[in-house]
Amino acid sequence: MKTKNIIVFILFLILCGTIGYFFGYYSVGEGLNIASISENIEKISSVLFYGILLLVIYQVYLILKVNSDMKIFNDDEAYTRLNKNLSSAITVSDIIGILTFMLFGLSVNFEQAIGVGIFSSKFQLIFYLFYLFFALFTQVYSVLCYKKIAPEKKGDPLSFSFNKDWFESCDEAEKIKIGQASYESFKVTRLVGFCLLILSVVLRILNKIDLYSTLFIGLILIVQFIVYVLNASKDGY
Amino acid sequence: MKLKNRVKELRARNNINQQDLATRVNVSRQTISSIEGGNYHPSILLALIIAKEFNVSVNELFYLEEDNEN
Repeated sequence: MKTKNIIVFILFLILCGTIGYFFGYYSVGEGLNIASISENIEKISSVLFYGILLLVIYQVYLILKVNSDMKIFNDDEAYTRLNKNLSSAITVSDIIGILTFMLFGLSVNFEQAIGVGIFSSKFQLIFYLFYLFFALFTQVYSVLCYKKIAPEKKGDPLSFSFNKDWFESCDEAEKIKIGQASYESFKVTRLVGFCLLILSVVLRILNKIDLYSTLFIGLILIVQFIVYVLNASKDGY
Repeated sequence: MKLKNRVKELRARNNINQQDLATRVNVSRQTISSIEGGNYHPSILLALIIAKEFNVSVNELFYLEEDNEN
């Protein structure tokens, strides 16, 4: 190990500790006023609700583009475009599903309506279900389109073994790409996860959130790391 | 030095499209597209299979090109 790296790392730890000390002193000792999430639940829910609506509109646009290119996918340019749009459609449908669950979790215990008019509380459940089924439908449809342009791909999108079957039907290049993407995801999730863990501990000290948030984030990090190490150390690596 | 290939040229000469070649060498069309674009360097096994498909040697199909800086 280089001496320079060790010194920089130690200085970084001292800096983090110093910032943490002053932040803790002023927030707990002097009473730092950070608004809790429950005080802004309506705003957050509204932002999520309309944000998901925008994503749904964008997803409809993507699906229309996919439909148009499906007719000419033998053309190399259309194929490249189709590949990109199908990947985007699958990603957007995942995000819609996750955000809808978050929105449901935020607003389920609150009686306030989100938005006005037809988006009032009576219709909230309908919109949640619509968002979820829309996300599921577009994801299944995108996978089926992909299987049409790449007939060697296996896996039923509604089957629990879909990920395994799909991966096994990938060729050498696709498996390498999946490996690279997974490692990037691991690195970023670990960094973001640790930052969120620290943030959740600070907010817990300020009594702004409950203990479960810290436990869940910690659990996700531990599971992620163990799964990664177990798989990376297979076959003597 | 960069690895270049003549996959697209040989494919055109033999009048084969990307999907056909992909099916014959048992990879995805996207992989063929990536190889032709220089975005993926195939394994030795795949390089040999593609060369055999075109009835050429691997050296005729793949070659090293010096960087312009050198």
